[in-house]
Amino acid sequence: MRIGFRLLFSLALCGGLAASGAQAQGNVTDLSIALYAANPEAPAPPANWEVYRIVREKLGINLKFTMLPTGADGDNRLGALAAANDLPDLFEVRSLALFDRLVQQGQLAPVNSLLSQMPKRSAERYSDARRNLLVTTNGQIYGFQEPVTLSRQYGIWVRKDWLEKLGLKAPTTLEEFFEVAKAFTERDPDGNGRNDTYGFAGVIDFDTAGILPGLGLGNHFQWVYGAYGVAGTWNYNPKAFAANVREANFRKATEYIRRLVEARVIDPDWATMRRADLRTRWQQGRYGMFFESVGGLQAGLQNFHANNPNAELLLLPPPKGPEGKSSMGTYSSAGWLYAVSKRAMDTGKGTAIARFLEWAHSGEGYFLLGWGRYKTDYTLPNNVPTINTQIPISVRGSYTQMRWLAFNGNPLEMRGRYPEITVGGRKYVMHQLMAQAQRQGNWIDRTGDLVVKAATNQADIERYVSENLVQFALGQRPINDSSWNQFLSGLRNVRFEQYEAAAEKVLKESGYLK
Amino acid sequence: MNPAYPSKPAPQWRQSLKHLARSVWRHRVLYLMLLPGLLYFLIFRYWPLWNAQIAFRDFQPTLGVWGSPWVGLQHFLEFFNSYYFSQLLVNTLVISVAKIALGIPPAILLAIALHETSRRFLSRAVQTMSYLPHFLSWVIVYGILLAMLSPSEGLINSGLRALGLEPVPFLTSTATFQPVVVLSEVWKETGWSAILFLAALLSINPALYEAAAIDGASRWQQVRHISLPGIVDVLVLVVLLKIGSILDAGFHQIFVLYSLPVYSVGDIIDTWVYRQGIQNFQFSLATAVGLFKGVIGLVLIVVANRLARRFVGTGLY
Repeated sequence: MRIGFRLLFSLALCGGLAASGAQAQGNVTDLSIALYAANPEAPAPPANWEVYRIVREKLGINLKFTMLPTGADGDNRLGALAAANDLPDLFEVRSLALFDRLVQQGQLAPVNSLLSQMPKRSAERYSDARRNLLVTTNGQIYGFQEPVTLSRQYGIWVRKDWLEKLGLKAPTTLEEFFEVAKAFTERDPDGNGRNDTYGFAGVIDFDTAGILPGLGLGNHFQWVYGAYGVAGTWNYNPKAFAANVREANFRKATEYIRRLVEARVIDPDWATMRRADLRTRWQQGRYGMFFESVGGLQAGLQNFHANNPNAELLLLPPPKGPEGKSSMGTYSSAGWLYAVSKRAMDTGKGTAIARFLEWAHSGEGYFLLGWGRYKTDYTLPNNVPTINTQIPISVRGSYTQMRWLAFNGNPLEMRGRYPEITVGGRKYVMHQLMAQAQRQGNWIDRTGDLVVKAATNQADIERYVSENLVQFALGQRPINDSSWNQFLSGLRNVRFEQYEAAAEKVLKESGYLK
Repeated sequence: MNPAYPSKPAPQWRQSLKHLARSVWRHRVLYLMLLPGLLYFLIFRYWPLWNAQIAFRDFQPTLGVWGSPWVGLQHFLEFFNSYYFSQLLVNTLVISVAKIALGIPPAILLAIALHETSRRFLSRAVQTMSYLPHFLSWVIVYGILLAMLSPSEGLINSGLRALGLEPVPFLTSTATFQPVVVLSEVWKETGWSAILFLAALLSINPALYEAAAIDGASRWQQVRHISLPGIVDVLVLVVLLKIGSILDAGFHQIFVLYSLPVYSVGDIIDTWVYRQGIQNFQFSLATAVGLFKGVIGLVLIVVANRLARRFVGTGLY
C-alpha cells in the first residue's frame, strides 16, 4: 500500500515536472531546415553540435537540420517531400523546375514580410530588385535569392612544363590550341616513351553552380562556342531573338570540336566520362590541357604533384575564334536560393526563420556556420579565416555543412576559402587564381536564362539538341548542309519554336531582353 | 395445434464459413507465417494502386490524391505523343527480349554443368564465384566495364591496339552499346539465375538417372531426356515472370551505362520517365507510364500463361 502511494506520488511529481518543462519550452520554435550538403565528403553535424545549443538558448529555436545529397538525388528527394506535402520549413532549392512547380502548386510562402525582420541580411543580400524578380510571381517574392558568391570559377589549365619541354607557347587562338593539343598528344611530352597523353580533356557536364551550361554539350565546351560568339542557350538579340543553335557559327564551333575528336587530341572517353574520371586522369598527368574549376584544382593538387613532381600549371585565357571573339562561357549573378514552405508560414514560424537567417548572416552565426569551431577548425590571423588543414575535411566538414547560409563572398572570406598553399614545392595563391579565372574568362552574364521556364517536354528538347550535337562531334553523323539543316528542321518535332517564343516573351517581360 | 416443422438447417454459406474458420484455426501457425508476406503485398503493392489514380489527375500535393483535379488521359497522351515514344518502346523491348533470350540458356547450361560435375569442391567454388557479380552494384560494374572497354585505356582496346587494330568505342557506339548492355547483364546475373534451375535439377528423382544408366544411357542422353524435361516447369515459370516485366529493361543498368552518343539505342521508357517525370517533377506523368507498363505486363503474362498451358502443358497458375 505504502509502495503504491509512493509510486503514485512519484508519477504525479514527474507529471508536474514534465508540465513545467513543456511550459518552459513554450517559446521554443521547432524549425526544420534542409540544405544540400556543403561538404559531401563529410557526414551531417553530430547531435552535440554546439550550434544546436546556441540557437536554442539564444534564438529560441529547436533546429532540425537535414542534409540533402548534392546533384539530382537531392532535387529528387525534395521533389518526393513536396509530393508528400511534407516540405521542411526552410530549404534550399537548386532545381528551378522544382521551384516553379512549388510556386504553381502553392507549396511556397511569399517571404516579403520576412525581409524587414532581418534588416542586415536583407540589405546586403536581398535588396537587388532585379534579382528578386527571378523569384517573383504576381508581385510576391517566393524565395530568398542570394547574390552569387562563387561564379566563373572554371578555366582551361595547361601544363606549362610540357609547353617548355616541347618549345611551345601557350595557345591564344583556336588554331594554336589545336596545334598545341596535337603536340601534347603526339610528341610524348611526359617523356615516358609511351603514347599515353592527350592534348585536351573535358566532359559533358551540366553543373549549374556558378556557371550556366547552356543547351548542347555542357560547360566544358562552352569556350569553343564562345570563340564563335555563340556561348549559352539564347542569342539575346532583341531584333532577332533565337536559340544560338540556329546561328551559322554554332555549326562552325561544333565542327571545331569534331576536328579535335578526329585528330584524336581529346581523350576519346570524353563523351562518357564523369567529372570524377576527368579529375582522376588530369591528376595522373595524362592531359596537356583540361577544363577544371579552381576549387577542383585545389582539391587535386596534392595528388597531381605526387604523380607529376616537376609539373607546373597555367590558367589559359579563352582561345580566340576566327573573328577574334572569346569567352569561357556563361554565368548568372544569382546564387543560392532558399524557400519557406507555406505550412511553416501558416504555423507562425516565419519570425523564427528570419531570426535564424539574420543570426547566420554575420558575427557569431556567420563564423559558426561558415567556418566551424574556432581554434579547432579554423583560426583568425589578421582577420582572415584560416582553415586548420590538420583536421581532415571528413571531420571538420561536418561542422560547416550549413556554410552556404552564412557565406557572402567578401574578400576576406574568399582569401580564407581559397588560401595560399604550397604543394610539390610550388606556391598557389588560390584566391588570386579565382580572381584571374573570373577576370580573364570574358564570361557572359546570362542571368536572364533563369526566368525562362522549362518546357513541358524539356527532357525531349534537351535530348534532341545534345544528342545530335554529340553525334556530330563524334563523327557518328556527317556535318554538311544537308545533315545540319535536317537537324535544325527537326527542332520542330520537339516543339522548339514554342519554347523559343515562350523564352522571348518572358525575357522581354522581365527586362532581360530589351 | 400447429404441426411441428423440422428446424431450419443453417444456410450453406454459414456452414462454409464455419468450416473455413475451423480450417484456419487448425493451420493457424502456417497462416501466421503467411501474414508478414501478405501484409507486405497489401501495404506496398495493393495500397499504392489506390494512389495510382493520380495518373488521371493533375496531382497537387496540397490538395492530396483525392482532391487533385481530373485530367483524363492527358498524361498518357503526353507519353504516347512524345517525340521519342516509338524509339523508347523499341529500345525497351529489344533490350528486354535480348536479355531473356540470351540470359536464360547460359543459366541453364551452368546449372546443368554444376549438377553434372562429380567434384563437389569445384562445383561449389564455381557456383559461389558465378553468383558473386549479382551482388555488385551497377556503378561498380560500370567501373569494371570502363576499365575493360574504354577506348583510351581499356584492357580490350589496349589488346586491339597491340594487334595493330583500331580501338572500338564500345560504350559510345550505337552498334555496340546494346550488346554491351545485354552481355554485361548476362555476366552479372547468370550465376544467380542458375540457382533456380539447379534447385529444379536437384529435385529430380535420382532413381531416374540410375535407371537410365542401367539402360545404357550416356550422360548427354540423361541430360537431354531427364534433366531438361525436369526443369521445364521452372523454365516456364521464369520466362512467364520475365515476360510480365518485359517493359522493365533495367533502369539502374542503363542509367549508369548510357550517355548522349547512344541515347538512340539506349534510352528506354524508364530512363525517359526519370528525366521527364521525376527530374521535372511531373509525378502524374511518371505514374501514368508506370500504370501503362503494369497493364501491358499483365496482359502479356495472361496471354503467355495461356499459351504455355496450351503448348507446354504447364503455367504460372
